[in-house]
Amino acid sequence: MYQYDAIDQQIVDERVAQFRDQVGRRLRGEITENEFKPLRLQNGLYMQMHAYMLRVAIPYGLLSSEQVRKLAHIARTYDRGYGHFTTRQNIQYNWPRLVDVPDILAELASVQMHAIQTSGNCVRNTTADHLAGVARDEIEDPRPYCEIIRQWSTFHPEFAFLPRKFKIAVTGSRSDRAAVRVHDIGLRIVEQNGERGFEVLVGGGLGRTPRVTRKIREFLPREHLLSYIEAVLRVYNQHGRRDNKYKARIKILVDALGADGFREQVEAEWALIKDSALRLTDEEFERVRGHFAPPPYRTLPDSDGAVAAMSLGTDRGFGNWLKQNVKPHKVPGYSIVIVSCKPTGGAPGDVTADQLDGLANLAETHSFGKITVTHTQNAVLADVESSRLREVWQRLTELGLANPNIGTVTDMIACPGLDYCNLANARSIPVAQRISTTLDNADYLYDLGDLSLKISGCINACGHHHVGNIGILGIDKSGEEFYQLMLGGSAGEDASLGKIIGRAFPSDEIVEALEQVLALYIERRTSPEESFVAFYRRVGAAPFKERLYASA
Amino acid sequence: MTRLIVTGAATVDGRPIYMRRDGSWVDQLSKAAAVDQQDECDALLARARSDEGTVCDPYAIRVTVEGESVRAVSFREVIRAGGPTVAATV
Amino acid sequence: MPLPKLTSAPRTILKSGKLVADAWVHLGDDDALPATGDVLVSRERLLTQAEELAARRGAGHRVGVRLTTEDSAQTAAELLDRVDLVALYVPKFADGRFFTTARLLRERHGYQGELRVCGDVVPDQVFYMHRCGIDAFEVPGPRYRLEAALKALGTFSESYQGALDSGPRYRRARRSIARAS
Repeated sequence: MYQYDAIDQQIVDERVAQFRDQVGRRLRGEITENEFKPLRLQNGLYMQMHAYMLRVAIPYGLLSSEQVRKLAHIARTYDRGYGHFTTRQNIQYNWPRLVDVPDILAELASVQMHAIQTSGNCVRNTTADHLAGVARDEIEDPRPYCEIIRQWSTFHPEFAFLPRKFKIAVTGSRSDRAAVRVHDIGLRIVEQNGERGFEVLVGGGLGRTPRVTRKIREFLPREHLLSYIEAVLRVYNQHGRRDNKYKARIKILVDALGADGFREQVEAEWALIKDSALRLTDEEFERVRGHFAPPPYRTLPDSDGAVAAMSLGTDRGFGNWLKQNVKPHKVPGYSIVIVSCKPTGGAPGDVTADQLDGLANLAETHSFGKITVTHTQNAVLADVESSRLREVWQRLTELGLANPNIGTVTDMIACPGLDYCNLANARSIPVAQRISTTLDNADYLYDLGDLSLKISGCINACGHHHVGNIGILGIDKSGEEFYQLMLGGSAGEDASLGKIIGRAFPSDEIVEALEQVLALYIERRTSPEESFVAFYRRVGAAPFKERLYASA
Repeated sequence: MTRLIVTGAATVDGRPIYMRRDGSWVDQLSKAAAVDQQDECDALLARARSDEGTVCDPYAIRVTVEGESVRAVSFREVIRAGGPTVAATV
Repeated sequence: MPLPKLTSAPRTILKSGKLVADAWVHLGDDDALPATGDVLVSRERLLTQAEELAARRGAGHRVGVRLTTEDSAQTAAELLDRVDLVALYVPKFADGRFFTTARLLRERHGYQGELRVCGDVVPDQVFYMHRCGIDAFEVPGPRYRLEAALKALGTFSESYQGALDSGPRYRRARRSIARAS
């Protein structure tokens, strides 16, 4: 993984000093809360319902064991013993005190971490495929490019006060596990005539005006990565709307200009800067790529057959876990373990300090000391020797991180909702908890197959409800919590936006409504091979409407 | 009947705090000044706004008062006063 | 209509890394032109009163233009031969268009003169502004804000991306890594 040199370290150390000074000025009354707000936000410090909330950046989700231990230490020392993995592969703490935040940032800086640009109208954490480097369908590891983007975007002097926040995701695989089509910029690594480059997608996003990205370039040679992004940002910074924050994301500008109109502006700007110092050098690619060299894998026989055989063994718990939570690795003899942070009845994405420490130890002994946070609020041990999977399963079971539900309907994304968030209209976590408790039946879950459920407590869509195969959106109806059901969304390479199925359900009916949707699918699918989303695309909304609302 | 209480987030740690008649702040909704009149509320609010060292973004909420019991009208404020409705993971 | 947070002369500003006395007068569109002194006017006034202002420059007084965030670098570039100073007026600090305007005026249109920012100038933005080519800062409010701005110029001693003060880090000489063969 990327290792800071003296310059990287100096930059984060100076950031800590800057924020310490800013907090001091705020507490002395030299700056108002209104002036302080954008400063703290650019350090990921929000004000939520019960306390401040600090969001810590995890570049493209990748952590070392040492960093994970530091996150555990921060949870214990400065918070209430837990943290929450987010859909930007970051972690957030719900209870820090303002006066402690400079110290927390200093702790983070001591392990090459920070909270830079985890909020605010600037370029946020660049996300990537959580199977980067180990997926079998990967063309190239996207993380070196993410790191190059991270460095370029960190304290970019021109783009720190954009019309609105800006999110970039990169995937190097054919299947899209990074939801690149719902990002402000989505980059797909592609190859053309033996040359590496990017397909450039822009103007995706969720929130009030959900959009799937529009393609503005089939092939961007990789040395132009930064000049092209800079051109996109420059057009956006000058022409994005600033009169209404709900219409300020780049997707609205792309809507207004049309994909062609937007492309013309970007290409015109790019023509003026593409051969400037922004052009990346081979030396820089090699330098950064050197940080992501594969770990020292042992030469082992292929283990696909052995893992399949183990999964059919008499121990059903272990077998289920192997089938659901373990994925094939590109290196023979190794497996990818997805660590489920979705225990039955738990808050999706929450991890305790003890769990973090346990994960750090497990990564050290079994996965070259690395952990990746996923945008689906789980974690990955990417490089586990297949012959040691049982040990890993046992340890994860002890830690409460082995629920065999990855990819199933209980592997939900959920935002913090009205239990924590100032923007929320309804609670998310209690709904997620009731769903996971109600559907806690392994046979049923596996029969349902791959099915994504995503829950947001308000229209801002932090829970990505538009791109869940099933989405749940909390709304406020004259002081009461109601929930809308959306069907047919997908965040993958077949990205689509779900549609609201009908009137919203009160809190005590939403789980049953979900069960009805699932029952209809089971009854009417052509075969278990027809996935939920394929079924929905075939039959449309009508049968679901009838099932849900006919008796009303 | 409903009354008005001035609240905000404590500058030091962001916890919800509520204003008393003398301008000091308490953590419990039930110990705050619940006023009847809008002008009384506006006066408290003006005072709160000049106290940025203690409180961020003060605003007024509606509460119902029955004897000793004070309850926020909006569901959001009920949760804010009582803490998250879900147990912490630990 | 007076522009919010515009400071009046004489004032102290941050300029070329120092706190200095400054006497430029911000004129509104309806304010009378004073007999002498350096004046800053809107783009509109610069164009409508072109001859008078040119004559004033000829007589040894300086004239500057005060752009708003609605003005692009391109429109500003067309005025450069009529002025001695370009000021960027920021109505609200979050309106970050002026960062691009400043950078393009310097990098693309070759503007070499004083590039000043005024209006809702927050000290903590000064580091970014300076990297974008702004070299003079009117900071409204108490003196400690001006001092904070001076300090903020040195917030970071290194940066990743290229701007007015340096090229991108990967183009600076600093390491020897063999080229991929």
